[in-house]
This record gives sequence, C-alpha cells and structure tokens, in this order.
Amino acid sequence: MFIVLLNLPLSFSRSMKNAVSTTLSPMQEVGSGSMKRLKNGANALRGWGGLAEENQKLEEENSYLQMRIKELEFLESENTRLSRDLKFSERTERSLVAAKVIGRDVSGWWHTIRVNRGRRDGIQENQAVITPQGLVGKVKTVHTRNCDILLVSDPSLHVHSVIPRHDAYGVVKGREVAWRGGRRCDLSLINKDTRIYKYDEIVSSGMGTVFPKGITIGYVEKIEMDSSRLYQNAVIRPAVDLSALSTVFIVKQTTVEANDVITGVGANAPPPARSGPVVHGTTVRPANLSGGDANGPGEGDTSP
Amino acid sequence: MKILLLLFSLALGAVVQSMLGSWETLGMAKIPMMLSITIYYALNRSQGMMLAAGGLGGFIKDALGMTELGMSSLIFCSIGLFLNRFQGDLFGNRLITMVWLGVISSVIVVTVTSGVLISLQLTDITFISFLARLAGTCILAAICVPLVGKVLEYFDYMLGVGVGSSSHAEDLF
Repeated sequence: MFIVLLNLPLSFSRSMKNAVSTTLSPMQEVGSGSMKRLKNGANALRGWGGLAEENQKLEEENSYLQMRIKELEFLESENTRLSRDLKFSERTERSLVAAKVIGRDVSGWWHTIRVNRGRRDGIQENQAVITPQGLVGKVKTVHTRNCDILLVSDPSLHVHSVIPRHDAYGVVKGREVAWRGGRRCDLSLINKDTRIYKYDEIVSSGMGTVFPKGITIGYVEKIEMDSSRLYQNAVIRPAVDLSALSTVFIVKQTTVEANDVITGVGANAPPPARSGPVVHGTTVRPANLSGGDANGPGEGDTSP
Repeated sequence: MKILLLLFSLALGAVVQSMLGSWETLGMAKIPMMLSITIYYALNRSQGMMLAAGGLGGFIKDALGMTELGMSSLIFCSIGLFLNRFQGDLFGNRLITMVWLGVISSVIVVTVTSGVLISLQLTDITFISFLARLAGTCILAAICVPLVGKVLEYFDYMLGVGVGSSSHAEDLF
C-alpha cells in the first residue's frame, strides 16, 4: 500500500491532496475563526470589550488602504519613470484578493501557510502574496477552496531584488531557521563595491513575472563578504512578521498591456514586429511574452 | 461508530496541527497530533484499527503538507506495529509510559523524515537545526501524547467504545 502511495502519478497524487484539503477546509476555517474569537474574548476580558470588533474592522480597512496607497505610489513613480525614460506606455492591471490564513504547514519542514482562497476565486500558481508591510511569498499549490503559500523565508524561494538606495541588485533567498529562532532571509550576489548599510530597505526588482516591482521584502540586518570575495551577502529581516499572519492579499495580475507606443510615432505607423519593437536601442517585449517562463529569470523556487 | 470516532479524531487532530504554529526557537518543531493518535490506537486497539489510524493519519498529514503521499503513513504504521506488538507488556494507560513512548516515537519520526528529505535534497537542514528540532519535537510529544491519550480515552468512555478492552480488543477486523 505504501509503495503504491509513494509511486502515485503526480496528477493523481495532487487530486488526492486536493480532495483532503477541500474536505478539511471548512473545519480549518471554523478552527481559525474560533481561535480569533478566543483572542478577541481574551482582549475583551482585558478591558477592551466592545471595541475589539470595531478595532478589527478598522485594522482591516486600514490595511487595505495602506496597500492601495503603496500600490498607487508605486504606479505613479513607475508611470513617470517609464514615460520619461523609455517613452513607453505600459499598463498593468492588478487586483488584490484578500485572504484569511486558515492553517500552517502541518509538518514544519516548509515555511508555508494555507489561506481560504482557491481555484474557484481565480487564484493561480505563482501569484505574489503581499501585506501592507511587504512581501509574504507566492502561491505554491492551488486547491479548489484554498491554496498554499510558500513564504519568503523558505529556503526554496528566490526573489530577484534591489536595494533602491544604491540601485544594487541581488537575490533574496529564505534561510534555515536558526536554533534560537527568528525567520531571516539571505540577500546574495550584491556587487562587492556597493556600500550597503544596516537597515537598508530591500524591494522586489520586478524581474520575472511572479513578484511585482517595488514590494518591500525586508531590511538589512547584517552584511558580510562572500567567501569567494566576489560578492557581498546580507542577512535581512523580513518586513512582514511571518509567524503572525492573519490576512494577506493575493496579487492577481489579470491583464498586462504593453501598447508599444513610441512617442512621436503617429497612429498610422506600422504595427511593431512580433518579437518586440526597439525603443532607443532597448528591445521591449510585448506583455504576453515578458518574463519568459512562469518563474522568470532569477525567481522561483526549488521546492518539490 | 469506531470508524467514525477515528475519522473525527484524525480530522480534529489535523486541524489542530495545521492551526498551531511551529516552535521557532526549537527548529520549527510542530505539535505531533497525528503521531499521538497513532500511539493511542497502537496501545489500545487491535492491529487492524491501529493500521487504519496510522495509515490514514499519515495520509492526511502528507496530503496537507508538501511531503510525498505515503511517507508519514509508512513511518506511523511501522511505529504503531512495533508498539502494538508489545501492547500487553506495556502499561499503556500510565502517564510516564505515554511520555516515553511519545519521546522515542518522535525521535524516530524526525530522524527518518529528515534523513529522507536530505537524501532527496528537499531540505538543507543543518545539524544544529536538526538537534534543535529533535529537542523541540520531543518536548512537544512528551506533552501532547499523554494529553491526546486522555482526550481519546474520554471520547471512548463517552461513546462506550473500547472501554476496559484496551489490550486485546478486536475492534475492527
């Protein structure tokens, strides 16, 4: 029986996992709801009774508004920069889907959480997951009613990132939890000549198609030279408290339109070539081709 | 009724295990609910019922996580079979027995699982982290196994299932 189970075809194994997840999902939702109510009850006992519910609503609203402000700020800066530098108009339509955390990895071997949004809500694999504070991770496995999210602290997740203050690029990778605890990430492959400082902000670079540009990943905690002496590495503290997540937002990038319009070229100009037009010596890829494969360069995960 | 009780226990155990976070200061150790249920069934039920508990418990654990289906079932059933063999010789209802069995079983589970995951290059856990995780899981098992045992014993008592027939009951098959 075990040999059969261990050698099941991947698709069948996924279907079985989906069935178990879907069956247990309502119980998990009830459980996490009860847990939240218990916490609220404890708060009420501490003298904040009555205000707990209102406070929670305001917190959720605040989170959403903060998220919108960040997104709009980023879009504004992106828009200005693109118009100025590339003379290129790009439109990315993103929508955020709020999701409630209903569970965590049962084995403790991986850094994952489970949320109450799944295939029926239009969630797909490799969609970024964020909070107002920053990047949480990406959607790893999608079931009918829920999905598993691989956290940014998992060693198998790689995010191409940048330190905006110095315009220094690197790759953020989760780090094995130290015996003292505390989730940290490694930022590697930073140019050795770049002077980076403690508390520098690290954001996603937007390379690849998984993570949107400009999402805060964390802050530099420790800087060290790579053993090869060719690069610098940094230990970073994630911007989000990954062990206390209750609500997250899944980024649905539904439409990406690249108009491929070059300022100065009229409406009657011939349509750009399929491989992408050349703008000031830079090849601009049409939106549906940008990023190549699902994970894009330098991004993705190596988990099973 | 016995099957229903087993399914309910496993579902409840899975939900609790997935809801509670990991013990970050001790290598991300998780509370071993499914293992505790298997140990209880190994000490208090027939071999068939124990295999059902271990097999299903492991299956649910693997299905909710990212490990391959069948790995936990194999480990749980192996531990269960061993304990079930010595069912009559062990004082299964004594607290100290439950604590020790929980600790020993969790050592086996963590060692075998980490060995398999490292050999398949699915994790790159350091030796220190492995030791921390081992310690964390042992502590949690020492608390969880007797506690789950008492809760299941209470369920048995309330439903009139398997009471007083702990050692040689032929529950299922």
